Amino acid sequence: MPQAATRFINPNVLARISSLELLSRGVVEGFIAGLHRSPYKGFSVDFMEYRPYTPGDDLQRVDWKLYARTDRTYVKEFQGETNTRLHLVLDISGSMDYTSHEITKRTYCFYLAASLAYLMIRQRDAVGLTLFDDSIRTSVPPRSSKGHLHTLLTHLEEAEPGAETAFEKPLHEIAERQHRRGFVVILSDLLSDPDTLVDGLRHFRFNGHNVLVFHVLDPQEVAFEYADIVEFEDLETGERLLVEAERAGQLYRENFERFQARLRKECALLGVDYALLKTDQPLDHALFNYLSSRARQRT
Amino acid sequence: MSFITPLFLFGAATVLLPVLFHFVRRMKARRVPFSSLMLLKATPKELVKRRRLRDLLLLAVRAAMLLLLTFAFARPFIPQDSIPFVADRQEQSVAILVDLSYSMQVSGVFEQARNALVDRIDAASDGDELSLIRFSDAARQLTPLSDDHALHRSVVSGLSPGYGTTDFHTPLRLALDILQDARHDDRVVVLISDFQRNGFSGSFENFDLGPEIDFIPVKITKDDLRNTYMEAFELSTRRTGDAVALRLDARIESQGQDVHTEQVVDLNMEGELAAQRTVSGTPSSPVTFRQTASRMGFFQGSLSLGEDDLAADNRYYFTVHVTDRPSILAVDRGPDRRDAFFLASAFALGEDAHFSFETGDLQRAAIRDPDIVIVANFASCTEAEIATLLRVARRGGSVILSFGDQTSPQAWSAALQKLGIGTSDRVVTPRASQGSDAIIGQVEERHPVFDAIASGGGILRPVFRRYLRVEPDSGASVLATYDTGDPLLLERRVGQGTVLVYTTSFSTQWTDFALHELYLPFLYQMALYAYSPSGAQHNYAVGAPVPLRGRVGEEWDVQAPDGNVFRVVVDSSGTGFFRETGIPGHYAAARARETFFFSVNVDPRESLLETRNEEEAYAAIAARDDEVATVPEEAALLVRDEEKEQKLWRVVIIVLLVLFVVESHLASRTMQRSNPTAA
Repeated sequence: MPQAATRFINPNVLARISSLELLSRGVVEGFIAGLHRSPYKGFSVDFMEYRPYTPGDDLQRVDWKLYARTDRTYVKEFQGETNTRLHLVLDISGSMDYTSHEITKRTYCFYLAASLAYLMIRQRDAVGLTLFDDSIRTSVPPRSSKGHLHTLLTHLEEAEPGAETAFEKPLHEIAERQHRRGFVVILSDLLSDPDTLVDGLRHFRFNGHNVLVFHVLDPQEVAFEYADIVEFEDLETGERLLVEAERAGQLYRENFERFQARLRKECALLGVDYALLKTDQPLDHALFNYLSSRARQRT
Repeated sequence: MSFITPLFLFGAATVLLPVLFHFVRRMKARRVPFSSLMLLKATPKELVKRRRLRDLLLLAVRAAMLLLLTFAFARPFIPQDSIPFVADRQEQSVAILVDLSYSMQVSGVFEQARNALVDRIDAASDGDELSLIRFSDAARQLTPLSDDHALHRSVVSGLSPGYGTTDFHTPLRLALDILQDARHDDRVVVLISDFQRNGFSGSFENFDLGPEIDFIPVKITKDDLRNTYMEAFELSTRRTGDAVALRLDARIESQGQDVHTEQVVDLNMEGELAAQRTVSGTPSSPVTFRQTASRMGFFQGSLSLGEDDLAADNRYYFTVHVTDRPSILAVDRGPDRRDAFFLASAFALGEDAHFSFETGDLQRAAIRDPDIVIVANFASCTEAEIATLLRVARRGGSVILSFGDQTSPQAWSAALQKLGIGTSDRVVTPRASQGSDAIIGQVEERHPVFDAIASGGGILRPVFRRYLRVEPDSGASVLATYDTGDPLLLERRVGQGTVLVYTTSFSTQWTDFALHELYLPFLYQMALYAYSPSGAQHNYAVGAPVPLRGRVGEEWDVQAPDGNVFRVVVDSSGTGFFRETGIPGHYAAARARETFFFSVNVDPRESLLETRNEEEAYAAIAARDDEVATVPEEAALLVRDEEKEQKLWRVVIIVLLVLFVVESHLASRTMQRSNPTAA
C-alpha cells in the first residue's frame, strides 16, 4: 500500500478532520488511489467500460464528452453490482466510548461507517444505517442517491452515547426490518453476551443476508498493559473492580483469547465474516476486509 | 557525625522524586474507566495489600539508595573527639617556615607573623613534632624536628626580620628534607609570610610538595601600604686634571598610597648633608647629584628618602674610591713600536686621561713601580726580566703580555711556565690551518674584562691572522678563546697581582682588532681590571660575599655597620670572602697598612610590595595538576585527615550496593508479574 494513502487513512490523522463527509471522501479516494497503484487491482469496484447506447438506457449514463469527441453515443457501465444493499449496524453503547489513545471506538466506527457509505454510494449501491445499544436508537433505510450520504453522515454526527450493549433485541429487530437480501456490516466491540450475538447473526443469515462483523477494540483491550493496583470502572454499568493489574492482566488476556476464539468459531459456523480491528489501525484495513469479504461472498 | 562536603546533602532532596513518582502514579492509576469488566476478575484483598506493601518497600529502598548516595558524596566522618575511648587526632610532623625578609619590617607585620608562629606552637599537641625554619633568600633551621615545644617557643622571641629578599623555594626544599626524617605520617608545611611576588621563582615549575604533605599558607598582610625606594643607583667619576667629579644617578620609585606626593632626597657625604633634591610626585622619578672629590681616597655616603611604611629601603649607601691616575708602562721591542703606538693612542689622552701612560723599558718598571706593565713584541724574556715582572705582580701590580713577529714561541714557553701561565709551542696562522682567519670563539662573559663587549654580537667581527698558541697551565684561567679553540686571553693570579696573557698583538700586526670599535672598550676594561682586580667593586647587595685579596693566610678585620668585627682569612687562592653582609650600611675591611671600604644595600626587588594571596600561593606551591587551587582551611585539613582515616563512604557504598541488590530483586518480581512471558 502506498505510504501517502496509508498515512492519510491513519485514524489519528483523521481525528483532526471535523467533517465526516470530507473524511470519508478522503479515506475512500485515497484508498482507491492506493488500489490503482497496488497489486490488489482485483478488488477495484469502480472499473467501467463503454457499450453502445440502446434504447431504454438511462440517459444520465450516456458519456456526453465521449459523444462530443466521437459523435457516437456510449453508455458507461460499472462492473460492480449495482443492486447491492449495504446495511451498516453500529454499536453506540457506553463501552464504545473507551479509549487509551486519541480516538474512541465509537469515533473509529463512525469513520469506518462513513467511509464504507461513501464507497458504496460512489458506486451507486444502497446504504442503510442502524445505531443501537440495548435497542435501536436510529435507523435509516438503504438508499443509493448521493444526497443519502449526507443523511447518513448527519445521523452519525448527531448520534448520542448509548447505554448498555444488548444484541438480542436490536439485532432481531434489524433482521426483521431488512426484507431484501443485502450485505450487513456490524461494527461493535461485541462486549456482551456472545450467545445473543450469535442468535442475532443467525437471524441475519436465515434471512439470506451476507454478514461481516467488525470486532472493534482499543489496543489496550487486547494487550491490557496496566500496572500496579488499579480500580477499573465499567463504562456502561459503573461497576468497579479493584485488581492488581499485572496479575489481573494475565487472566484478562487469557479470557479475551477464549472470548475471541469463540466468536470466530461461531461466526465461521454461521458463514459470517469476522475481523478484529484495533482503533490504532488504518481504516484501509477495514475497507480491505469489507471488499474481500464481499468478493468472497459474491463468488 | 560531620561531613567533608556537606553541600552534597542537598542532593537528599532527590529522595522526593521517587516518593512523588510513587504517589502520582498511584493517584493516576487509582481509578481507570474501562469498557467492560466482563473479562476481568477482582484480585483478592490480601494480594492487593501485599502488593501495596511491596511497593512501599520498593519506594523505601529506592529512597534509601538516593539518600545513601548523597551521603557518600558528602563524605561523612565521625569527629574523633566525639568518639569515646578513642585517641585524639593523628599526631603530626610540622615544618613551620617564617619569612624574615625585609618586607616583613613593615610596621606591625612581623608582630603578626610572630603571633601566628606562637599560635602554631601552642596549637600543637604534645605528640606533634615541630621544626622552625627562618628564611629570606636563604633558609636556616632554627630548631630540630622535635616535640620539645619549649625549645620552639624559646627561639621565637629572638626572631626579627632581616634585610634579605624573599625566596620560597629554598626553605620549602629544606622543609621537605627535614620532614623526610619525620616520625609521623601526617606531615604539614606551614608557611608564614607576606607572600612577596618576587619570592616565587621559576623553580616552582618542577617543585612538588608531594601528596603526603599538607600545605598551609598563613598570609601576613597590612593594607594601604606606601613605600618609596631607590630602584637603581649608578655612581661615576670623571677626572679633569687633578679634579675628580662624582656623579650619582638614582631612580626613585613610589607605590601604594600617595604616590604622587613630592619626595625629598638627601645626599649625605662623610656624615654630613651634602645636597638635597625634590623630585616630582610621580611613581618613578630620576634624581642626579654632582659632587667634587676634594681629596684622594675613599668616600662614603648615602641617599636617603622620607619616612614610609618600609624604612629598610629608604637609604642607599655607597662607597667610592678616588685615586691618582693608575700608571701604565708599555714596553715594546718591535722594530717600529707599533703596539706602543696603538696603546698610547688609547691611553695617553692628556689631562682627561683615566690612566697615566708612558713607554719605556723594563728597568723603568723596576724604578717607577707602575700599576700596569704591558710587555709587547718580546722575542723572549730573560730570567731577570721574568723576575721583574713577577715582582710587579707580587706587590699588587699587573702584567699584560702580548706578542708579535719578534716572538719566539719556544723561548717564550719557558718564560710562560715560570709565570705559571703554561707553555707555547708555535705561532699559529689560522688561514693556513683552517682556511680562514680566526675570530673570537668563546668568552667568559661574566668576567669584568668583557663587561663592555660581550653582548651585542660585535665581538665576532675582529679577525686574527696570527697568534701564539699557549697550552694553559692548570692554575691559569682561560678568559677567551679563538674559534680554533686556542686561548686568546689567559689570567693567572700571582701574589697580589695578576698576569694577563693576550696571545696576539695590540697593533694591527697580527689582527685588525685595533681598528675595531670594540678595541678601546676592551683595552680599558682590561686595564681597569688589571689595576684593581680585587675590588673595583665597592657596593654590594645584602647577603653577597665580598672578596678580599691578600697573601695566603693574611687576615682582614671587617667592621660591620652595627659595630661587630669579623675576621676573614685569605685562602690559598689569594682571596678571602666576607659573607656577613646581612645589614645594609658602610663596612670597613682593614689589614696591616690598608683599609678597604665598601657598602651594602638591600635588594630593591623586595621593595616592590606586590604579594600573592593564599590561593595563589597554594596554587604555586602545593596544587597538583588535577586539583583546583583552593586553600584548604587548617581545620578542614584536620577534618580531611579524619575522614581519610575512617573512610566511612566505603561503608555507605557497600550498604548502597546491598540495597541495589534488594531493589533489583523486588523490582524483578514486579516485572515478572507485569510481563509473565518474561518469567
